[in-house]
Amino acid sequence: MYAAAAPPTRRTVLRTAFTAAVLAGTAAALAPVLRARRPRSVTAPAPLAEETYRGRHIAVQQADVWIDGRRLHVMRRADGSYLSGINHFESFATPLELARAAVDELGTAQLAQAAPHHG
Amino acid sequence: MYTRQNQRNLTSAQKKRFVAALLELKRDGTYDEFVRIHDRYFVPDRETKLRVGHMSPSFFPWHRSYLLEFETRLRALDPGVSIPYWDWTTDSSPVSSLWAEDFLGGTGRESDRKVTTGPFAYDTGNWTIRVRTSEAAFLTRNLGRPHNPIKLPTAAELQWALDSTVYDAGPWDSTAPDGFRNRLEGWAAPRSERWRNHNKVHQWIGGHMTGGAAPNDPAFWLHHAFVDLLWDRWQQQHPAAGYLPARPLELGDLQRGRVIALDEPMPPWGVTPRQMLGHQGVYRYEA
Repeated sequence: MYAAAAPPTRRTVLRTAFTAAVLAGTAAALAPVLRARRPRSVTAPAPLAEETYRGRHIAVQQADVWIDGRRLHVMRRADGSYLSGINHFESFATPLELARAAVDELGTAQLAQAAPHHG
Repeated sequence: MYTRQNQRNLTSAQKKRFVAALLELKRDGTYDEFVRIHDRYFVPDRETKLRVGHMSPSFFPWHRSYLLEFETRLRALDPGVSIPYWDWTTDSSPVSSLWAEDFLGGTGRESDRKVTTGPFAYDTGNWTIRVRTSEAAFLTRNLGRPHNPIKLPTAAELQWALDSTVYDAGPWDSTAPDGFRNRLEGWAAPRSERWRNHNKVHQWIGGHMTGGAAPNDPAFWLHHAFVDLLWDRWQQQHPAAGYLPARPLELGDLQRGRVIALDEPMPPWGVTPRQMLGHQGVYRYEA
């Protein structure tokens, strides 16, 4: 959960879409070659939202959030709203609002590379 | 039997001794162990794991035990020290004596929220943050959250929680529509105002206090001593009402195994809510 997963970028999204098109449209003979070069799933990624907020880069993919490339620890409340390692005592309707609230609280500080673990 | 005093009545000698004991626990690593415990036991209520510290009925007894464990360490260093409480309904200004140079120090600077005054300022060399949610090695605060101002809970808001006639109510989480626990923990609130009481105080202080490593800020202990006192106050106001759930939840209840009933042990110490219902003979609160 805290592994330093690289934030998805537009390029990843495009490349994955390209790979999918190649696999779908050409002979199966090409598939082993492509698999060898890119041994990963070709299922289409969820839409990626990005924005710059108060000078910080926010990326959101489903419930995953990155701020300047660092992963924000995202949690859920029973009512479906979102909490993070930075905001434990209030929750937000969407991951994007959660990300902005974390930026508000961080000021210019960067998120920790690996946040402490919960039980 | 010792007394937990209102922080506003502490003499400067008492403040010095309290601060000195905190700095010593920080120096020997004990303090950071306590910070880790708080973070480890923060389990949000969408998860199906046991919740002891937050969003659950054992919010009060779990934090009572947590404070007692911490206070025992403080008193082993200096038996004249106890955790003072901060009544945030009366000392509600970011320039009150609580935040002065000789006690907790003041708010953080605007850019990175770094606390630069008082005994917990990074530049003293005595207060490096080791349990981190951000890269900052310094303590952070943002008193009153100037970019989006927030006020500390009022006496009326607190009374609204104390007036609740039941301790807690199903589904025993942050969505419980009624009950003293959820009103005081602060998830339950009128629509017009989403957060109240305990939660709002964490937000008002800002910086480390809003996150999982909240006890990095010594203000945490003074805030929670007051929360602990408020449990007493509620008990006095509703002598016939008791801790709920009184018995483990029935098979088939979605919250079974996720919340602590009156006689179930709370990790990591193994004490039960019943054992934490009172603190007679251990400590008392200054009126």
